[in-house]
Formats: sequence, structure tokens, C-alpha cells
Amino acid sequence: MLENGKISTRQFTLMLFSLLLSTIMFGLPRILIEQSRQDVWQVMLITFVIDAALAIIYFILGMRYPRQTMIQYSETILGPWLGKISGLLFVLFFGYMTLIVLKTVSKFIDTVLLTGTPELAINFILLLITLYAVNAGLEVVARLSEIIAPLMIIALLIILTFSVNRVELGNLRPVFQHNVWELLKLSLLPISLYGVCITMGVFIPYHNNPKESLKAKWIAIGSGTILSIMTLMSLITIFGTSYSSQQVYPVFRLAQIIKVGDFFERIETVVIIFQIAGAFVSMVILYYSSVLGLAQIFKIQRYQTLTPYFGVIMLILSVFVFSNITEINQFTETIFPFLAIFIEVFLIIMLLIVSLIRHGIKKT
Amino acid sequence: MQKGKRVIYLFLILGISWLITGCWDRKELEGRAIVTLIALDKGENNDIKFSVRVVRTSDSQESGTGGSSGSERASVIMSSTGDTVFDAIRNLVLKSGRKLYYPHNTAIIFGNEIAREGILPILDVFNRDAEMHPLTWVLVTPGEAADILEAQPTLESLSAKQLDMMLNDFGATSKTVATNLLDTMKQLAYDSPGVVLSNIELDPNNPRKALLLNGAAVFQRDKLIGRLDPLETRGYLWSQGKVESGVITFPCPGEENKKVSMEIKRANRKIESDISDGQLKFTITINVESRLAEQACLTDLGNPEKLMELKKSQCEVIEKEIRSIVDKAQEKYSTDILGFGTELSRKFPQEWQNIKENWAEEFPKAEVDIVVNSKIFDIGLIKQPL
Repeated sequence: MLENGKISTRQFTLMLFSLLLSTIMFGLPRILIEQSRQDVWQVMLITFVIDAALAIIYFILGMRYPRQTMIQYSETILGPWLGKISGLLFVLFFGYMTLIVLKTVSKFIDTVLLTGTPELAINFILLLITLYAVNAGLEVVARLSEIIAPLMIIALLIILTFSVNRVELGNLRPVFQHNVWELLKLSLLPISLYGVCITMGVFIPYHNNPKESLKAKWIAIGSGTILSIMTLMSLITIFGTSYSSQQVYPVFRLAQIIKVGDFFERIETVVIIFQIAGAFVSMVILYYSSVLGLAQIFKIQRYQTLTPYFGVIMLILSVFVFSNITEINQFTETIFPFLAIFIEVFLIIMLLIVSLIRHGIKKT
Repeated sequence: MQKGKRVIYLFLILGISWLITGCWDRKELEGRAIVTLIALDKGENNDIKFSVRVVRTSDSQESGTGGSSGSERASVIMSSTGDTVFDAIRNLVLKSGRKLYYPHNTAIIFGNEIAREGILPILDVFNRDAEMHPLTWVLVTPGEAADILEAQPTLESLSAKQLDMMLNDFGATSKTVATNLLDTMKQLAYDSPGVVLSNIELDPNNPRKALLLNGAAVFQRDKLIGRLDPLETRGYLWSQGKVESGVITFPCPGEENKKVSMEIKRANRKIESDISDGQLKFTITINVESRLAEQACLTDLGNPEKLMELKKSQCEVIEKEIRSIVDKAQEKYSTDILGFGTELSRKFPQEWQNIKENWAEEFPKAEVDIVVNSKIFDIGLIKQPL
């Protein structure tokens, strides 16, 4: 085994939770509010239901092939060649997500916090600590998310609580302006981003009680959805839809306007640091999934041999892809949903069907 | 192995010192010049004149002891010009040497000329740049904005601090508005594209230039089109439900030449829209609670019948205040500053899509009803003057 660590149910939940929350907290709120306006909570609920249903497929496959990650069982199901290609698709997806999260965070730091620092320096330091955490193994990754997930929740709750005095409920109207078909179309983008949680397929074999993993995932995405709906609703009630969809980082703006009394203000930096820490956790998880998958595809003894190379590739790519935030956003809005949904929905359904045909229904 | 590890740890520890020395964009306090007020005017050659009031960080201590001129020397005024606001901001460094520091800026003040041409192009940089804060106040002055910077503080050590306190307490009279950058942008983003900003002037009665908030300025979308006097401004605040407190005066029942003052304690408003019979109709309902704060007449007002009369006159006065601003918005400015369009778009989103196109023509024709319910809940410590 490449990885001998075991994670508990709580760690499993918090890993998926922090991964999800930090992925959808940066650029997504603006795009979501711009597209679905006051109906955004319906879109998020639909997303939750669909993603919870998808989780069942990952869970079934994880149960049918115990002690195998999604990369390994795609080889068991499809045979060595097709299986390697399908495994590589998963790895590429994780790699791509690592890159997107890295670029989003470094762009954000570059715009908001360290305006004079070259982006390469930020990327380098971020990748260096990520590499260190990944090399330390799964249990460290899990404990890291156990520490940072509560901090993220606290930070978010601080923003939401102390901005309550600016809420204007009138901004919530008009509601129900989209029919079901439109809502489904609008939820395509959040579903594709919720797709980062397919990393559950990588972690199920290391879960000390795999039967619990479906429930754990539901709790993770459920609480993630609740928190993101709360955030989106505060953005709409406080800023209104037009102002929110004007802001590149609406959650940062929300933290900026917090002012309680004459002393509790300008806390945006504290909040932003927690947000960056969350993004760091999701980078670690995605980075780990990528290198572990690669090592499993190419049958390498220690995945740690691959981490530096992967880091260097990420660093080099980070210079060439997405020179600014608008490119990231455009990519996320137009191409990414199809790419992601191909991998996280079609690929896995195909795997399930082939598995049912080849190994029978009753395989445990 | 053990030794190799130690060497690596040693290098890592040494590496930390390499990282904690700071970032590329570190700034020392001595190198900073903190901007407290910004004034924007139209320059001579169609460019932008950008003036700032800056606190001197390094020697503010010693100049603070310099007697009466202390506050003057603690902060200085600088100005520059440029094609755009950001160009002007950077050109200022040619004169100051220090790069100015903006996060603690209190207010952005527009001169009359530049406000008439539109404030949206000017505000862009304040929304875009991460160094600018969204809670900065936005004000307009009838003359040159740069003149406002020369105002001397009366009670505080910095005029910016005094301005901040004046705006925070606008609710004591509710005769002016306090609008920050966030509110301004929100008003522009709503479906009723009228903005009302606070109007600031130099107090004409004070020879030592002092600040005075005087009414409000009205914008059609982002262009200045006129001004409101203090009572019209309160009418506007009534219609927005933003009246916090304030004093209503009207003639005493029985003695027409003497006045009573009512103190507003609580107020809220509701706007309802109706388009059922083809005619746009809006109803503004105000609920107000007030107390008898002062009476100049000698009549005994401390009984339910008299208080009933006071209540009636109070309702009339409030209704008149609101009516004056509604008429002005509809007839003089033809601009929906009252938020009717926003209300309509929320209640009738489908119909609004058709009305939206010619809202500017529809708005002046709309019928507006004003309903005021008031309650007098307190008369203070004495029952009658004597």
C-alpha cells in the first residue's frame, strides 16, 4: 500500500467540508448571484440534492471494491489500458483543480493583501508548504483540515453575524423568477464545482469505517450548502444583487464593511487569512489526491517521489495559465462545467455500469 | 542520516529568517502619509484636480504643542492634476515624495462642476482599488471641493474626524443625509437610479472656516441636478425610512405665534405600489412615535384632548415635508429618488420589464398617497409651563 494511514469519520467529513467550502467561497458567489439573482438558494438546494445522489454512486463503487481508490478500481473495472486512461482523467481533474485553486488564491492575495509581491513568489511559498503537508501523509492532511475547518466556520460566522445590522430584507424580492428547467441549467456550474468532493473516491479506502462515508459526505456537503446559502443570502440582503454581481470578491467586501461600535472594524484581513488557510487545505487535499493517483497508475512504490515534480509542474503552469481573474472566471463559467460533469458524472456512471456487467450485481 | 536531518533542519530554521524579513510591499510608518480627506474638482484643461488633506505622521507630536496653529500644522493640503483620478493620485507623489496611504480616508468630496458631469467615472477607482474603503463618506459641495479641505476643526483635532462625527450623528436632526460609498453604489445599482448625497459647505457665519452640513444634493443617475433644503431632505429621509430622530416644530394650538417642538423617537415607513387599473399608484405609510419636547406657549397641553390636536398637526407637518419632496422629485427633477422603481420591480417583476424602458416618463405621472400615523407617548417631566 502506498498509504498506510487511516482517517476517522470526523476527519473524512471535515476534509470534504473544507475542500467544498473553500472552493465555492472565492469566485463562485459573484457568478451565482449574477446568474440566478434572488433564486440562488433554490439553485444551491438543487445542487445539494444532485450531488448527494451522485455520492451514492461513489459510495457503491467504494463498497464494491474495498481498499481500492477510484483510480485503482477503474483499472480493476476497465482493464489495464482503458482503466489507466480513466484513472488519468481523474488525476488530471484533481491536478486541474489544484491549479485553479492555486491561481485563485494567489490572484486574490495579489489583488488584496500583498499588492507588490510577484505572484510567482506567492505561488512558490504556497506550493512549498503544500508539498510539505502532502509528503507527511494522509493522516496529517486529515488533521490539518480538522484544525482549519472550525476556523473557517468561525471566520464565516463572524462575517455573517456582525454584518447583520446592514441587512435589508427588501432585497430578497422578487423571488421565483425561474422555472425548474432554468434552475437546473443554472445549477450546472455549482454542481461542477461541488464535484471536487469526488475526492471521496480517493479517501473511502482509508476511512476506518467505510460504511459511514456516505453519511459523512452528506453531512459535509449539507453543512457546506447551508453555510454557502447563508453567505449568498447575506450578500443579497446587504448588497443587493446588482452590487454583488459587480464585485469580484463579494465575501471580502462583506468583511470590509463590518463595523460594530467604533472599535470592531477592518477585520477583513483576519477573515481573509482564514479563507486563505481554507484554500490551502483544499490545495493540499487535491495535490495529495493527484500524486497518490499518479503513483497508483504507474505503480510507483512511494508517492512522495512524485510530489516535487508535480509541484514544479504546477509552478511552471501557474505562470502560463490564467493571467488574470477574468480568465479564471470565464473558464469556470463556460468550459469547466462540461469538463467537470463529464468526469464526475458520466465517467463514474460508466464505471458503475461496466462494473455491474463484469462483476455482477451481488459483488460486495 | 541523523546528521543529515539536522543540517536540513538548521537550513530550514535559517530559512525562516529569510522569509520573515517582510514582503516586497512593506511600508514603514515614517514613510507614510495618511490621507484623511479627498476632494475632487474639475481642472482647468478638462482634467481632474485631486486634492487631499494629509496627516503628517513624523512630526505631528511636536507641532501638536505649537499652540493654536497645532491643528493646522498637523495636517497639510496637497493637490495635483491628471487625466484620470488615478493619474492624479500618482502625480501627487511628484510633490509629496511619500506614497500616500488611503485606507483611513474619511470622505470623498465632489466639487459642483465635476458632480454635474457625473460621479460614476470618478468613483470607479475608489471601488476598484483594494486600498480604498467602502465605508468612506461621499459628499458634494456647491463650490470648489478643495476649499472644503481648508476648513478648520472646532472641537476635534482633525477636520476629517469632525466631519465623520457630524455625519454619524446626522440622525439627531435628520436634516441631512449620510451616504457612504457603499450606499452610493447601491443606490446607483437599484432600479431607481436617483442618488441623494449629503451637501457640505463652509459655515458662512463663521469667519474661521468651519464645516456645515446643509441639506442634500440630488443626482439623476450619477449627474448632479439640484439641491434639497434641510426640510426637503427630511422629507426624503421619511420616504426612505431613514429618519432616526429630529425636531418637528409647528404653531401651538390656540396660540398661533408661539411654537411647540416635538422630538421624533421612532419612525418607520412602508411603500406599497399598485398598478391594477393602469394607473401607477404608490402609498407611503409612515408610523412615527414622538414626545413633546418643548412648548413656547403657556396653554396647558398636558391632557389627552390637546395631545390629540398636537398629533394631528404633527401628521400634517410630516405629510407636508414628504409631499414637498415627492412634488419636487416628480415635477422639478423628474427623477425617481424615492425608490418607487425598486419597489415596483420587486412587487411586479414581469410588468416592470415593460415600464422600465420609459420609467422617466411614467414616474412623474404616478399618483402618490401619503399616510402618516403618529403617536405621542411622552410629555417629559412637567405637565404645563406654569
